[in-house]
Amino acid sequence: MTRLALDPVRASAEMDEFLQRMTVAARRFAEFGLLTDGCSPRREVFRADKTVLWRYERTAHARGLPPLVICYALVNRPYMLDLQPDRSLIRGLLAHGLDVYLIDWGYPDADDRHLALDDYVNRYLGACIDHVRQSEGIPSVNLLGVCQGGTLSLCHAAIHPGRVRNLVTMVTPVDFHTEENLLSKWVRKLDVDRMVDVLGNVPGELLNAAFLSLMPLRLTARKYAGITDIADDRDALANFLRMERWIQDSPDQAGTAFSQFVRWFFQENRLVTGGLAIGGQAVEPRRIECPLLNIYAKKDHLVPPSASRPLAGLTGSRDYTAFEFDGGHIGIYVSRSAQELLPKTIAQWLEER
Amino acid sequence: MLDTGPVLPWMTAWLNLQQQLSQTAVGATAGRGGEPGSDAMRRLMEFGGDYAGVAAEFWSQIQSKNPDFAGMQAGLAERYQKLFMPVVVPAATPAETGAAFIRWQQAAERFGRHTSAIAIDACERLIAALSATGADAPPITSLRELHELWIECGEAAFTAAAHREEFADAQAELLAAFVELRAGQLRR
Repeated sequence: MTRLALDPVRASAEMDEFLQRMTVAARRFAEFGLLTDGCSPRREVFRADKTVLWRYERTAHARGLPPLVICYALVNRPYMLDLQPDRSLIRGLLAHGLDVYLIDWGYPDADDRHLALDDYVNRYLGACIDHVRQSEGIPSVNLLGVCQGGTLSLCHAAIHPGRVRNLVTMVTPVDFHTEENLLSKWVRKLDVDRMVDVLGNVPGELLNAAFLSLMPLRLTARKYAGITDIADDRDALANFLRMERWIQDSPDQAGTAFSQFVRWFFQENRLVTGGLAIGGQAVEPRRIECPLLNIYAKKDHLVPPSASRPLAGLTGSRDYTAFEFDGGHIGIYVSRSAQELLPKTIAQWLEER
Repeated sequence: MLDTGPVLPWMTAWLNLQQQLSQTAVGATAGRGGEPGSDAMRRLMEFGGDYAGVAAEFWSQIQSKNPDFAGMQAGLAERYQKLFMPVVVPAATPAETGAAFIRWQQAAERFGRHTSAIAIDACERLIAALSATGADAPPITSLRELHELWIECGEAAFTAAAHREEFADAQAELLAAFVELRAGQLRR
């Protein structure tokens, strides 16, 4: 007895059509030119080495709130937040009347091998925030940290609490040692210092392969099989290609900062267990007393909810809000439901404070 | 190239796809910040081969009135295992020698034993799923459904193993051995 009830003639025709549709999709891929690093009007307002601060053009009446500075992860490129007009968290935030700044860390090269977390958390992030504070004439900004950028933002807010008025974290790992965190289980075993000693900067391809290995079939075979469903839809193919480019576009990681992040967060879980210091300054989450909005994704395979939720009891904030998004780590940036829910949730939460 | 064994009726379409993708990819700029289409096409071509390969493994069973899945296990396991191997750890060149090379070889063999066991588990899950009955086990009437089941069984087997400490140990040792191999290359 078997469930296999395939008619050979129909199966043959199905395969024929499947391959033809893949051919059509592949031909169309070739028609797409360079896909931009975002779709919303913006201008560079500050630069420190490879770090660039972008300011976006607001598209709606101002809400009168302090600007929102977005701190993205080091391990991927931030254009995922502004992928295309109908899939852009940034556009959504602008449409809700927020002033939005985005920190782009750039692509580290051999010159950046010795950049440390101190450089990213205190120097670059600090300089970007200071630029916004000075140019807007305000004492503190609203800070949105995304993924690893959320962890960096938590560290910054703990060291420099006066600079952050409200803190939003999004799919941010806090407790790196929870049971569901497969990436952490793997990374905890690495001799990261030796790796950085030999390789210098850590190749982005290595990180990307690790991310894809977390679900080796769903993130590859299933995704590509879906191409045949959209072969006739030029817009959907362009969207697929933009996503595909982003997934593969992992910058090399500055060796020292990578090594510190792996050891202090993944291996020693210091944000939770204590003893974390960056640039000689203690990172004590209890010093964060500003309002906190913690957004995490229910089906996140990369940063499982169990890694984000512990933020609830970690800080000194008496105004903590958790928001669970019903989707995954990628869907939270680009799904249709995310476009509707997240900008509205963030804007309303900020307006109420 | 697809190793299909017997001549398959959709072979022409597969060859056509390969030809189209190869022609289209030629001359395109690959890599970060350039034309992403050529990279995507290359991955599409690899996927097309995998998809057609899975279908080819099942082809004789699809044609049979009394399918027997047991004989397919080796071929299916090989296809699964390929997907579980990390792509970033390259094979050492024949010119490599010395302690670092031996360490890398041993690490690759050790990790290979894990991926082999996962692949066998995935096959067993797939065969069990194909043999299941009841409301939760509707008939598989398309290759796409079969492919989806193949993915789910592979993913379930991988997840079960990948969380274990011995898997993480083997993977870390493979990476460490690769790093030492690279260190030797840089010294030379």
